[in-house]
Amino acid sequence: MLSGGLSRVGSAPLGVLALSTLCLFSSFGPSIEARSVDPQEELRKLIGERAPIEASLQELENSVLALEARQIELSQELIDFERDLEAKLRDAMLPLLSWPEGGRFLQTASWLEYQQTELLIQHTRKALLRKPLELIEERKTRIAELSDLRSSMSNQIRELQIRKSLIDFEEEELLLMKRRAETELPQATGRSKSLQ
Amino acid sequence: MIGFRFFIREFGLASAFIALGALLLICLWFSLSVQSSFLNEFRQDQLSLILDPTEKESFEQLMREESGVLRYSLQTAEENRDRIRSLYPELDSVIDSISIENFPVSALVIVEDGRKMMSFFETRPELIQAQMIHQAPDSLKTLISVATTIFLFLWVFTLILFLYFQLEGVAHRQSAKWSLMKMLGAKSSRIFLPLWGLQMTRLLVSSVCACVLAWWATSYLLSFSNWTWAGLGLNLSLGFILASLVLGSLCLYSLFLVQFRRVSVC
Repeated sequence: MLSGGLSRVGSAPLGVLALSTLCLFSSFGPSIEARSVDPQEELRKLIGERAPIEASLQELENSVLALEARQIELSQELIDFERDLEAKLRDAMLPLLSWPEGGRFLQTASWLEYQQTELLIQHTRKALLRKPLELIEERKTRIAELSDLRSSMSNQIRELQIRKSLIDFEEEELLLMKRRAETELPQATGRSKSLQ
Repeated sequence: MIGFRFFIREFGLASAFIALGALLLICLWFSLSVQSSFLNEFRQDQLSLILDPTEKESFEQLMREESGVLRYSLQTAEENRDRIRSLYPELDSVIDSISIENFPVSALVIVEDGRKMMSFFETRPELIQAQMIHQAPDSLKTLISVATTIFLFLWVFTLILFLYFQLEGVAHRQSAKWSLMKMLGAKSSRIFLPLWGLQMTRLLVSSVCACVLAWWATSYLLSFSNWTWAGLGLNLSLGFILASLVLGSLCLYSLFLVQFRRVSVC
């Protein structure tokens, strides 16, 4: 079970810490006993450590749920945006497609008016060009946001899985220690009575 | 057959003379009109500016304070939209679908020194989004000058051909008469004057036709343009006819002398 737990944890520092604690506890049992450490106390301490881990686990689960909800929301927004994008782009591109290149020499009363009209037409064209570019940029941003969220979510889930494995391992350790404490406690009580 | 060929040649030459004369007249009219209207607009330096719509008041204040500014006028986004709409009536529905923020607020500024003012405006990018200095249409002027020169050359060339073929035909037909008159010592003017009268009548008719054609073309051009130019004036037409007659007389006399010298005394 221990080796199974180890393989699941890998090189997680908490796992190593727990394992070393366990080894110390099991190998130097008599010396601890000699220092008169109460196993029940140790057990209570270890059970007390479990509470923040569980809280953290709950918190992580909640955050994953929130992330999933946000992802669904963003995906829906992107789907809606993509659905309207074609129409929006068409509306934005239509004036550009038929927009004149320059002024009409014969239709302007003077050369000055002709030049001024050319400037106006060019400037308006620039303003019209901005809209489809903005739409494309917005689409790019939305897709990037969603893919960032997805990668962040997968990282969080991976982290959660690692922490869950750690907690499982620690739970196993606790159970083992509890069992040992239960078996060692009557023996220790008997030995102290005999010494007396 | 010979008569038909002669007719085709005469008709072709007369048509070319009329068409080239009309084109020359149109070029002259265009050149004079550009000179009197387009080029007159550029007595003072003028700048067109595209303004930041939120900075209109600041711009007006700047214009009042700046000493190099002689006059200025502002055009709102609505006015500019209407101007583009009036130029492109076929884009009416497209323009309607564009929101007013896409149309710029512009200004026309008349200044003492255009270049200096342009560099001043470059230091105020928060007010001015784009600017341009208006310049006289020099390329248009050059184009018209080149076109006038080409049409003048072609017209003179056609005029010479127009007279030469006629004169050659006459000389061929009347070579015996000319030879006899030459032998009797008659003055060349006695042969030339009746010939001149006939050719000048031909030239006059052709020149009038060219004037009518040019007048029709210029009226047509003015009818679908917004230019406030005067049509082809009487002075220009009369000047053209007179120039045509004078030049025609000179050419005819020179050609006649050459032909007359060739006629041998019998």
